[in-house]
Amino acid sequence: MGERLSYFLKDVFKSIWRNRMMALASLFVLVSCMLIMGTSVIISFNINAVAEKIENQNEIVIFLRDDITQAELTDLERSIERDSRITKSIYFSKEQALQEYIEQQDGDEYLYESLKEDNVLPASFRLSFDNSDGKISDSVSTFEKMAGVEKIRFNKDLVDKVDNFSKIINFVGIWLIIVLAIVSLFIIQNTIKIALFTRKKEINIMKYVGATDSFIQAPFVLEGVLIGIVSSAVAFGIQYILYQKVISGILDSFGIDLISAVPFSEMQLYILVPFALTGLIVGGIGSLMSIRKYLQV
Amino acid sequence: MIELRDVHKVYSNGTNALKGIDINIDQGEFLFIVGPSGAGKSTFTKLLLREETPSSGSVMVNGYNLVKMRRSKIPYLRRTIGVVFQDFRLIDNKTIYENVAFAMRVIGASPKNIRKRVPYVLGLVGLASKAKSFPREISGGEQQRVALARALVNNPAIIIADEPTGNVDPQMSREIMDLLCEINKRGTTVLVVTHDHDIVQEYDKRVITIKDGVIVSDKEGGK
Repeated sequence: MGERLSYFLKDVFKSIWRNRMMALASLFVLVSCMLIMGTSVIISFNINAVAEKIENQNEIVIFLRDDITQAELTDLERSIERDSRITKSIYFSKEQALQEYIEQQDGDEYLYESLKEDNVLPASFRLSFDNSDGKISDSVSTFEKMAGVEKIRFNKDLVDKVDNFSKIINFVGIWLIIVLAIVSLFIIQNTIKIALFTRKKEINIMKYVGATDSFIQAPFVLEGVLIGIVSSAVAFGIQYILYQKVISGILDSFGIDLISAVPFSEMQLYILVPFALTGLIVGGIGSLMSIRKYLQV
Repeated sequence: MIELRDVHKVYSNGTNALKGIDINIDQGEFLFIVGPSGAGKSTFTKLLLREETPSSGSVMVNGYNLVKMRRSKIPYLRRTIGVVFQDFRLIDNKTIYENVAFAMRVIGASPKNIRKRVPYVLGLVGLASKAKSFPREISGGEQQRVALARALVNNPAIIIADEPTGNVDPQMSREIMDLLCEINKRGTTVLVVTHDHDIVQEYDKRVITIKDGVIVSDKEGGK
């Protein structure tokens, strides 16, 4: 069996080598297709991570008008106490807000002297809700109507925006993948067609001496599948380098905790499996498609 | 062994290639199928190889019913028939040995059998010394013998030679014909398809003449 197998593999590699320009072209297109696929996986992973972080915070911030009266403040405090779903409520005075702002800006206090003199930062209530998916927006609209409230910052808006964005990315990504998969299928099919053509005589002889169809097909299918598998390995490597060096670098440079890059190791399975499947399916089906026409002797 | 009953073949383009052929060929026979080009000779061989199916009638070859046969069984039918093509159809980048071994390899023969059988068959056609040569390095007559060796290597019950004298000089023709007779003596049925009347006359064999899709004569002895 070993000898037969080595003959078989030698034939396959010979055929790929003879056809190397086409094989390389198929590889190139397949890798491009996979990279786009992988990039959209990475983008949606990162977007989802951001959305999750925002959602988990479950916080709203009620900014107060500078001219809020003591009565209005007490009123607001009572409403907050009455809302059973609020688990935590912290009052932040204008001074505390300023202090926090300065700390966030690396705390070089004296640069902010002018800010201190004329503090434009509003006082606020920071409210945490329990995670029971209640309608935070109900509470929000209640507080919004109350006197002395300047504005409410509500993460839900942001979550919705992020969600919409990721939907668009997914939609575009899926169509790109479909189109590119069809293009790769076409290219693989042509590669195998040329491989078949250069071995037309051999195939013809095989048919006459009584080789079975599967015996004739096997090397060509393997050739297609091999191109597919090599493509997925190459694409995975490029994707890894690209992510480590470029994308995560950009994301991390924002320096904001919310937008830190998802580690590659968490996504690698979701990248590798689609890559390998695309390689196998496109390579296998592409070659089978072109062989079928040829075998009708 | 080969049995055609009232075989008609009309191609989809309307060509009426065979119009009621009845043939019976027994195991171990040697016969010529002659006739001008366009008479239906090649349709006849295509039917035997199940490249074509008859429009009506029945075809039996080596125990296979070619009309009812499933597509997946065709390879097994073809293993019982060795074909020598007029244009030889050797693979240029394989040596003589590899060309012959190829026919065994692609039907799944074991490497051990290949190593035993190929030199034997090359010896049979007198090409043992050329095993390592490439087709372009040998003469036309030798190339034809390689084609014959390849047809023989899987030990078929029938050998079909398509115009074996068409591409070689008269001296070579005689050599290849003698070789076919030799193979026939060992029990293989030999079918020589030709339009070369001279060669038919030289050998005292059964001759079936086809013209315009019908058998016009079927007689023993070419003389």
